[in-house]
Amino acid sequence: MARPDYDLIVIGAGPGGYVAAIRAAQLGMKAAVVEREHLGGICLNWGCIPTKALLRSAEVLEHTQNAKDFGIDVEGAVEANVGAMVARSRKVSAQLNGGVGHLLKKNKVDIIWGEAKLLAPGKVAVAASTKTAVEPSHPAPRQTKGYGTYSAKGTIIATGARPRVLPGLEPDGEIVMTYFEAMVPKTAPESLLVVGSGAIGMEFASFYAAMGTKVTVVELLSEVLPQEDPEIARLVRDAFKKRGIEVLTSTKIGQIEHVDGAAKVQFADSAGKTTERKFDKIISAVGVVPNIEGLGLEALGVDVTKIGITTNDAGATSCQGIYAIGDVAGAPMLAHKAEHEAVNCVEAIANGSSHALDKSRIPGCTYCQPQVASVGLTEDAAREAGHKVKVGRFPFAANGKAVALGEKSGLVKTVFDEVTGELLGAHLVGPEVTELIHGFVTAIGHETTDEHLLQLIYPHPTLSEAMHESVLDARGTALHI
Amino acid sequence: MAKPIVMPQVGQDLTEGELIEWHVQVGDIVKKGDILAVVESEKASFEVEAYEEGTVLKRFYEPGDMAIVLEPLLMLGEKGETVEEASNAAQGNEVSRPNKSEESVQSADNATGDRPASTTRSSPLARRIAALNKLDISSLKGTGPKGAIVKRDVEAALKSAEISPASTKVAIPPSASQPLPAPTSDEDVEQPFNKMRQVIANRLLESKQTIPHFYLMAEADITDLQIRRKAHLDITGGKISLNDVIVHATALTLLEYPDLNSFVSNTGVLKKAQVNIGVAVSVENGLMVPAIENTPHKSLEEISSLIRDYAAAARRGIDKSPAKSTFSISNLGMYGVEVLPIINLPEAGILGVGPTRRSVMEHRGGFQARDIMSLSLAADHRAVDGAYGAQFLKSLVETIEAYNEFV
Repeated sequence: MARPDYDLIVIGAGPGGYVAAIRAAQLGMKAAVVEREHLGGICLNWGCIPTKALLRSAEVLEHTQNAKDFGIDVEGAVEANVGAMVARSRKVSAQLNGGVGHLLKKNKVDIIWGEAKLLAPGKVAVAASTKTAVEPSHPAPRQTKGYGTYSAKGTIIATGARPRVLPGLEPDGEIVMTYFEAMVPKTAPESLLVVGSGAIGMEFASFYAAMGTKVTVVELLSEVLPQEDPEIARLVRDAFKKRGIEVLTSTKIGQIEHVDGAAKVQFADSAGKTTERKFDKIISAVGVVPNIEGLGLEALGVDVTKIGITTNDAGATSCQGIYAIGDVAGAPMLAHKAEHEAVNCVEAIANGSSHALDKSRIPGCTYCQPQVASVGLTEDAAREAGHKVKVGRFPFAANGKAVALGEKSGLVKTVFDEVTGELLGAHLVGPEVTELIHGFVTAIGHETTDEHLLQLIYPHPTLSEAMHESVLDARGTALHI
Repeated sequence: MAKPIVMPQVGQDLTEGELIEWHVQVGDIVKKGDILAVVESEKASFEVEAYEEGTVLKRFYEPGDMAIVLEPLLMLGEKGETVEEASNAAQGNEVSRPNKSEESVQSADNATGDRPASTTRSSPLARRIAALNKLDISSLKGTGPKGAIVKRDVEAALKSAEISPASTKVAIPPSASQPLPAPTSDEDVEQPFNKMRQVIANRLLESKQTIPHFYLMAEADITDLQIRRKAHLDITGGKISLNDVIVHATALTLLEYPDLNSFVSNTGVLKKAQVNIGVAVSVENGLMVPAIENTPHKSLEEISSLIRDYAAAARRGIDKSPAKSTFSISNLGMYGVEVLPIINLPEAGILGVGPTRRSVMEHRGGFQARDIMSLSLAADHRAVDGAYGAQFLKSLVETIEAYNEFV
């Protein structure tokens, strides 16, 4: 039998796929990655990264609008230039997209440009993409391999996910948008309905509200950010209302009618009362679904469910030699989970060492204004799991650095097991909490207990002191409140 | 010139022992007396000490392997000497090498490249959960980074303990070397005493026949002590056992009761200037009582580490303690039984430590579940009277209950 072309072929160059290929190369494997559209995947082309660029513009705009509060006089009107913001966001994305190309090249990973289909375990056919590329696209990398059939000892599927489409809410390129279109607006619409209050919906709501759009967020469940601790979510909802964002919870969407370049939307609240409202644009942000179609998985007997490809701890599927990581392998669909699985999977292939992914230790961040970050169990989930819990709370209003920054709203909530002192969860809302959460991620990952956290010395004056105080509060010994 | 360190013969019947863990890596320089490995026989685990010096060139077994008695465990040599030279030298010395070693040494090198799963690494949470469940964490295998013991390891151990409380040692196959039971034979078996057994027999017979023992019993409420001890362990990650605390508390109490810290003869007592607490250690087919020199003036930490060291040495048949005991302690509490010990000649008394039981007691105006430890004192009536012994025991209980010498 002929020697296979590669030790490892990775299908999809998102944060899971390209990391897998790099790690494989580091471990001495000959690796290739197949990509049909953009290096870096949704994350750095149409997701995490470009939205952070847009939200940064929104933040600078708000700071400038509030400059007077900080003793700065700004002459003339402070206005958003949405087109320029989008252009900056695309530039940021393009830079990182190019960076992934360099990383792959540096690690001698071949890029096979096209759409992959598994013919057999270890046999991948690459042909022209059947999907229309989302515009504007970044230029394809240079020096790629072309269409053909490639062989490999192992194949990792890392094809990611795409927006879920609800019936009646199909994106139409005009009024109903997904994150693709919402990321590149020409102007800010007058009014906007955001359907779904997960991280994506809340971030776009936050951005468009900063642009001056009249934003309404509608959520089927009883609280926004359903993944988060309800106490934190309620604070976000209150903050949104204060910013003029309308939030409709426990509300269903009914008929949507297109009239004169706008949409007439019917809402039904939990009591069944219906109302009708008009919006210029709608963003559908009702989650994502794994990209499992067209890969030839059924024919090979790879176990697949609606929520993704079924794998073991090391990413192995039911079919020998075929692995799956990231969004396509199931929730939580987060880039950092994909990266972790990528390394774990490749190391298992290389030397058989892998570890079980503890999903309760994966942090989640939402970059709306105010920011939300969390890791571990919510208070309710901890109680449901049978823990006797101790909760600590500390508001940023009592934190010196937050007051100096003029960012006084927010809360650090910690959940401990009363018996063992285990940090079960941490839930933060407020300034830069997405950068703070790693402290609790480290604590949970290293299995520290409340007693150990109490003894740490946090620098003063910092926002992170609020984290320490929250731990103190759980023990009933908070100092600054 | 390479030299082998062979697996020691510990006990007459031992033919092989399971290698539990290595304390040295290939390339380490070892001195005489360094602990090289921990090996476990059917009855006890013991440490293997270096009796030569040099650089570790090769280890012949991996944890879990059965090491054959009097065959090499590892090779020592000059730094830079190759393994081949070492093994040639070994063969030149007419010591054979287990065949499987080549393979296992290689795989170990590939697997981690550094220290093997060490039992000392553990997360604070794992330690806390183990302590709350009275589980000895050092007995667990870790699955965390570099073999660290993490929460899931402790939880798995607790779970398996729940499922099979008694199934652990069921399947020991009866072997010819085991005196009891002997199902293959209907005949009675005569077993003469070995040297150690003969010494024990003579001394205990003399003690029981010539010393007029009297016994006193008491109970100590150690609930608060245990809380303080566990809090201390949580913070320091130390290894202080309840027994260590009792040893220290007994030594401190004896300072006020010198008549019990004496050597007794038919003509008088010799009050000892130093208090050296002897700790009875069960060893293969016998008993040893290593003593902690000048116990009351040592820190709890020192006492704890000396006891561990001496007990480990005792299990190898070595008495490492430099002093002679002046008062002994026999702790059988871990077996859940009460003990009425026999005095260790020529001492004036011995403390027996029984089990700790959780009982509902009246406490500070309410009823509470308290941890109650039973204590017994056997004393030589020639040296002390009942009232003196009773006062000592009462004072000891108070010292234990209020003990707070954790630093």
